Amino acid sequence: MYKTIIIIVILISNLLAQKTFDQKILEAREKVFPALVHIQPIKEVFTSGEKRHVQVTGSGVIISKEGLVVTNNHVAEQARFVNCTLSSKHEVEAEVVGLDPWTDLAVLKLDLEKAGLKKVPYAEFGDSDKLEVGRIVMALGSPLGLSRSLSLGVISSIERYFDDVGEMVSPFNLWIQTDAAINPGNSGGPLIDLNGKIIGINARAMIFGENLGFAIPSNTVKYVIEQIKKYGEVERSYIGVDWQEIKEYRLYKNQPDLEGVLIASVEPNSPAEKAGLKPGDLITKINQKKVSALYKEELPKIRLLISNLPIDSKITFEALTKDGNKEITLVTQKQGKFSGNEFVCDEWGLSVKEITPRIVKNFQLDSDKGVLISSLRRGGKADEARVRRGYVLVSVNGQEIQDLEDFKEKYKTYSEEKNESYLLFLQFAKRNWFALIEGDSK
Amino acid sequence: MKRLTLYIFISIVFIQNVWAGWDSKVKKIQDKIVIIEYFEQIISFEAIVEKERAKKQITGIVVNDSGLIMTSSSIFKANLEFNSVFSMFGQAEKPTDIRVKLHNGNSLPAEFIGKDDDKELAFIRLNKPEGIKPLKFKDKSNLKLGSEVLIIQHLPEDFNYEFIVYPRRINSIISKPQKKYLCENNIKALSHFGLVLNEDGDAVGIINSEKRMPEISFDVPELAFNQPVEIVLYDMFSELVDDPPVFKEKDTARKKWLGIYMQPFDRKMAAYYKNDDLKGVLVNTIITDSPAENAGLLAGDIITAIDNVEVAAEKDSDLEEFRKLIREQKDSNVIFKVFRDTKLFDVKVELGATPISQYLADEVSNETLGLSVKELTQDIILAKQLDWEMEGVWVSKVERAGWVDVAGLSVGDLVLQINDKSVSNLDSVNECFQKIENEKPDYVSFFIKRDSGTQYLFVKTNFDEKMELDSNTN
Repeated sequence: MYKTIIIIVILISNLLAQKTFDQKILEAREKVFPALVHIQPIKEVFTSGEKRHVQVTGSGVIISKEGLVVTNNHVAEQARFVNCTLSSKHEVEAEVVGLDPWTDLAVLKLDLEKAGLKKVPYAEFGDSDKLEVGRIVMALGSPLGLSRSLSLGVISSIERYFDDVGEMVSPFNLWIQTDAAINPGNSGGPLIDLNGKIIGINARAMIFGENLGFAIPSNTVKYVIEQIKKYGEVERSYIGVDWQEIKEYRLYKNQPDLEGVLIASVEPNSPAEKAGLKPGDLITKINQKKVSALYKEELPKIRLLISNLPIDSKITFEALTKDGNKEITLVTQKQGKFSGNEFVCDEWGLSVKEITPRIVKNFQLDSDKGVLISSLRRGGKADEARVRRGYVLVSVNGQEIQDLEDFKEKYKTYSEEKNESYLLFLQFAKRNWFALIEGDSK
Repeated sequence: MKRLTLYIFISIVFIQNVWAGWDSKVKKIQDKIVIIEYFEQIISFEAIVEKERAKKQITGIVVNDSGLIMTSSSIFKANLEFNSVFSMFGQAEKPTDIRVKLHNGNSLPAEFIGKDDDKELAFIRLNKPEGIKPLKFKDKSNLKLGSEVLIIQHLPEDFNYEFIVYPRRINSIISKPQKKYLCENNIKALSHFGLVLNEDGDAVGIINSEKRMPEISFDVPELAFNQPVEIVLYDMFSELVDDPPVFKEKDTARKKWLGIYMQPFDRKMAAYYKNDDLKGVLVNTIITDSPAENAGLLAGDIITAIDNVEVAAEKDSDLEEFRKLIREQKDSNVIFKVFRDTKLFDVKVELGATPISQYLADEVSNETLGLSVKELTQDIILAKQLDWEMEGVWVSKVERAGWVDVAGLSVGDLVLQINDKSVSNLDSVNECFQKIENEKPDYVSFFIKRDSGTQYLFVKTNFDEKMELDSNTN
């Protein structure tokens, strides 16, 4: 008799369990779905020597009742207007509160008042440090513009590391990998668990890969949102060091218990260079705290240790150098802009861009003086004078250009005096070019 | 009566010439046009020891009594001198096992002599000339628009390497910067090299235009098909025939070099400088440690004359003329007339020899680690945007799946340190390699520069297994 009851109980609970699984998906969905946002920003892009507008599609999720929305930087950057469609199909305008290209995150604020809304439903974050591979997750968003879509999968990895490639950087975080389908348009949408909590913001997928999607962990997202809410941006300390893991260095040194992180590269004129840090130094402690990175996946943690310090902080490194143990102290700087402002010179038929530290590094420039030619109008004056994209404008009529602001000011005069001719001196790679912008009267 | 005899004589000569069709014209020169067979090394960046090679054929012309044969420089594709364009063919090897097939079916061994990259001509020499009479070119030719010429080449193997002879007319004459005679071209011959006869059957020049890919640009490229072929007249290469270039690895005589980058100085520029009559070449870049820098030339200078020969560049093609003038200077010491800051003045310049390209650079290989490194040359410095005066070595080959490849070293990496020892030349690299071979460490560290940053690579060695393999094969 007891046996029969137990069997019945087990059967019923099994049935219930099956139902619960389905139910759980629906319940989780129900917690986040109302907060899902379909985002269509109008972006300003500088192309062909002029400012043009393009519309893109992305996703986002509301994270507070006042209407803060989190999405990707690559969705919201350069946005002039951001049009959001809520799950309730309300169309609401939003403004960009702050962008963080280093983590590919952005925070928007919905204009609820204008839309006649008092409050909006929002979703909550989970703890991404407690994730496990194999857990069921769902991706919400607008893949290829197909709004309010949901896809299901599991967490495939919780510590995926990507090296920086061009504009695709993620120095400060690891990625959650999922096989829930993620397509362009999913960007900025939430990855949620069965509790209906946001555990990540979907941002990338592998081209030619199948079911290889990547999300920024929620704990990184929470930190960035807090910073943006406070300062409008994420302020980071910078010292100018590229780090390298020591798994093989240990073997090379034949010291299997060695702890620390290796300096691979030191940027010229950086605080690290000035303080005497050198490639090959092994850093064992940062501000008295032991540090070690055996694998690449441990590098973001070390970078955060420095970047999260307030700007102008004193840092003390304990280093194993070629000349023995050393203690090196330096003061951090504010990390430079990710991408600079642009400016259109309509008269000359080109656009120029601020030279940021990243441009100095990637273009291997000697200094940050001048402005970068970012686009040209075909058949325009500059194009005819064979100015090319990627050249650095160093001087005009022998007058050095310091930076974008300096150039803007000078260009005002140039564009007013249309009859004058201007000789531009430009550099690219290790070579120079003279370009003559002819005056109109000639 | 005498006059009548003369008329008859003249008319007989004339008629003979008319009767003498292509056949007799070809018969006159057929034993002087040969097929050169050679082997070209197949270069791979992924193998330290080259093993594969390809058999090739090209047409050649016997040009003197000692068995000298002229052909296209494509027989040896390496660019020996730095010419600002990074070239894959920097890796090409000298042709080997050269044999010359004569019209009578004989096949004779020959060796590579040298080449001129500017004129795109190369020379080989028969080891035993065996009384082969050279082809005599006509000194002066009087080609005009519409003149008929006869072109002689070989056909490929499918056609048993027979001669192909076809008439062409001069379709176009380009007058500047150098006179060029062009005619239509649509024959797929054994090679792009061939002999050109005039209407009278005299050898007047050659064709030697390898079809080039157009410059890569974002515009839709005009395809290189159906481009006209250029007839290169004898006076363009007669000096080379008399005194052929000799290839001596690093000691090969090189052309003169100034060490600048330049651009046209056109009428608009002259107007900007408020000097409408000013003509010249605008210097925009001075290479560090070059003859130009030593002479005190500056970016922005306008060179107006060299040894009182006026130079003017209104457009890019005119720059070629200037470049040629510099490269072919006999005397190293020349006087430039330079315009700077509203003044014209003389500048004494001592031209140097053009720096070598990466092809002529010394290379050190280590088969155990699986890599080759080369000393830095100007072409690599330019391609990698290094400082002009930089000294160092770069990875030129990486054995596929060899020790360093597995560790992530790539062709093009600049090697700064090996096992924490700085390396700036091949001697120091050799020392390091020696030490590694002797000490057989489990790991070797490479500190390299790649793109804008530096990094360490740790190479796992496996000397035990290697020794086992070596002893098995021995």
